[in-house]
Amino acid sequence: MKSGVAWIHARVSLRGMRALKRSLGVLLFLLLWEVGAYLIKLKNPQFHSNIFPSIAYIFTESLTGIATFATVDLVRTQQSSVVLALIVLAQNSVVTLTRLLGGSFIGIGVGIMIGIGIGISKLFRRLFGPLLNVVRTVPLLALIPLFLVWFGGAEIGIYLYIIFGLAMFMLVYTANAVQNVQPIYIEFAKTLGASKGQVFRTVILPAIVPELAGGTRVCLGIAWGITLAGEYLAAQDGLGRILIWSQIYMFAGRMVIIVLLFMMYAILINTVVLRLKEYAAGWMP
Amino acid sequence: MCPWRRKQIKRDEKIRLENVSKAYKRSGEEDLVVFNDINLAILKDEFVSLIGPSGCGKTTLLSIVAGLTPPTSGTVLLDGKSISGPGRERGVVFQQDAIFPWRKVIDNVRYGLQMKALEKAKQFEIANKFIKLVGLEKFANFYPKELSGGMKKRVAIAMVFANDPEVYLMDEPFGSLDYSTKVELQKELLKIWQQEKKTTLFVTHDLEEAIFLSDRIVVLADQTVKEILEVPFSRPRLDALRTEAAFQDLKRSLWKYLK
Amino acid sequence: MIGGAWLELRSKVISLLWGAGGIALFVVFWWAISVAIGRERLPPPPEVIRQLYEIFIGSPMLASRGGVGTVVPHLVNSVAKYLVGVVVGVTLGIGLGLLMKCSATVHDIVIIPVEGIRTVPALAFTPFLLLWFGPTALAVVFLVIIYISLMLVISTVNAIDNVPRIYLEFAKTLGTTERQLFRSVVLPAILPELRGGIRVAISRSWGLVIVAELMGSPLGLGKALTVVTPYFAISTIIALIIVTTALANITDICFLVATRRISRWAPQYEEH
Repeated sequence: MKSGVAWIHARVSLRGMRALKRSLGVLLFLLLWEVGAYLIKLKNPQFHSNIFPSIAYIFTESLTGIATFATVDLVRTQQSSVVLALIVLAQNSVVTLTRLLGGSFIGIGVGIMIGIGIGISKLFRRLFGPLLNVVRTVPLLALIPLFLVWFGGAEIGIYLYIIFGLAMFMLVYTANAVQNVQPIYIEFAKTLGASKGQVFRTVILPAIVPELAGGTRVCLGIAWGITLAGEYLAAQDGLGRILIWSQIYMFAGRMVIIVLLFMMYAILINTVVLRLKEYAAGWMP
Repeated sequence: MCPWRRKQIKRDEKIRLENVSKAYKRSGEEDLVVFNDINLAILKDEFVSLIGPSGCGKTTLLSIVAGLTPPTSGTVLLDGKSISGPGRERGVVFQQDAIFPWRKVIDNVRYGLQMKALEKAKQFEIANKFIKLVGLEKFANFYPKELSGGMKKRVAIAMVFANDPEVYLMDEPFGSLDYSTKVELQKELLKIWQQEKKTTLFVTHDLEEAIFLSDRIVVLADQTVKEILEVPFSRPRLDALRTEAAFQDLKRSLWKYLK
Repeated sequence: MIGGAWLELRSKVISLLWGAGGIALFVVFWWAISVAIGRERLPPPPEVIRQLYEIFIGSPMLASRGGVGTVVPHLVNSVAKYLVGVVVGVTLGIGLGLLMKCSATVHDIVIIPVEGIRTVPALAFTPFLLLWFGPTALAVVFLVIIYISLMLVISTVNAIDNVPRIYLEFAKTLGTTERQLFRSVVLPAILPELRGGIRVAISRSWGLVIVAELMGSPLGLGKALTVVTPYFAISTIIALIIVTTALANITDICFLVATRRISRWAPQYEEH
């Protein structure tokens, strides 16, 4: 009986210890932030809040400060700064997320389709394989000026950029996945009487789903970068734009809020993709 | 006397290999000859084992009969017609796990029937019959990842048998299993085979397995067919047979070929 | 004997020809579109090649607006920033990763902030760096350092977790102590995986360097791009992008060659 209690104690302690250490990590981070903010305050008493605001400042002044991004009609309808700020954040979130998810959806879709085509067609592979290998090495973000010049800051430009970038990536990824389907499955299917088309539909497609899910996660990471770059340099709206303008006018607190939003959205999207993967590829050992 | 030496039997031939050779080209060296000029006849409803030292090409030979590998020269005839490429009439049970991990057991077993566009109800009916035959009724809705190695092999066997091919080709199907599971599955295979009797070509490196299962044993060594032996034991084959003197004698006489 | 070698050579030449065919098709396609939509929108290949040559010799466009005459100083500047960022980032990332696996305390304390920051795309930090360091080389270098170290911390931790337990257990039964275990089993075992992770991280870093420079930098390839963009000089832009791509490939190849010995033993090392 006594040993049982001791055992439980030890167990709870161990897990409790780890949880304690983890929360310690977060607290330590916040503490360091405050220390940093304080040091900056000493060094630059006038503008410290603009460069490195304290946490309290972020969630009060900075938050309401975002209301300055509200459009004129919106300002007329609302009195409270906080509400205005929240609405501004919501509207711009929608804009940024639509770009991100819409572009990703199309880009990944196109990439998968072409990738499958390349994966199963020997002719395609021989002809365009080396070419694609070369084009793939172009740093995606370096293409921004090109798209900027072609499309100005137009919405279509940003979308096409995301679509192009993701399609390129997903294309190669999918072609590889198709090539990597274990031959034994294909052989087995053939000996069971499956035609080429049936092998494609019932063996190759299901077999590549897990890999494609993984590729999609990476794509979304890339898409974030591209969307932000687009919004920094060209867009008229969106969270990225708020971020960059806040930087230009030196309002660091607002920038932190935007980044926190990014964090939230990224985690959300990641969780959804993981759930989808569980659903579609739950059969994976 | 040697009751197991080859006898002349007149029966229909199901599979015939004529002058089958296989060689691989190598850069900078001579061709690697796997085997040369193989002539072999497998009779209808006969269970033939193919044995030989590792690397002698037994799997390659099976692969050629299955149509998955082309011979360098020679032909393989099924009912007198030469084969080209794989087909549902030559079912194959592979050594590796080939059942589809993304399908449940029941969907795996009915796969061949689905490809044949049999009506759904019939698919499930036949599939369930064979799932029962291999003793996996309780696992019909499981995914392969939830099954043991032996169970996965049973699914593969059920898949191939349910597809009703004309011949069964098996490439060391029990090679990766432990001894007791192997013995268990050998018994089950014979039991099912008694019911759905078809011409069978079975590759193995396990002498006991070859003798226990087959009617005839073909020894492949030194790039050719070294010996063909008749297995004299009557069916049904029982476990007790494994310890009988005649069984052990036969095993001993085959040992020299595996060196 | 000779026959086999000749066959191999023949097949290599054939695939080379196919590949060249694909590239030729691409160039023809490009040219056709250029003619179709006008050379202002898409310059034909010869013009791009000419610009490629010019930016190295001396381009009046680059010299305008207080810029430098050729692309060379920009190039050197970008490469310098890149290399500093890469070296520091890799060291920091792997170091922290190793530390985290050595001490569970460090791991538990650091893991949440690290994972949290990692969810945010690296570019989200660029405005902060610009704010704190101004449009200078330091901002660019720090961006690369942050990105690479965050990537590699997790890479290292994962790689160490992925070491098959059987190696560790076998080593222990052969009398290896904990300290020796780390150096003689874990480190060699993770090197190939780590190599792959580093390769990906450093290749993505080029894009970050360019964008950060685009957003404000006195010198660098990104800066060269900002000088040229207002002129709508697409051929020069493409030329600069080609230069950047070439650099990315060169650094990639250099890395692969320099670390080739690491993956000598790895049974299946894929190039991607």
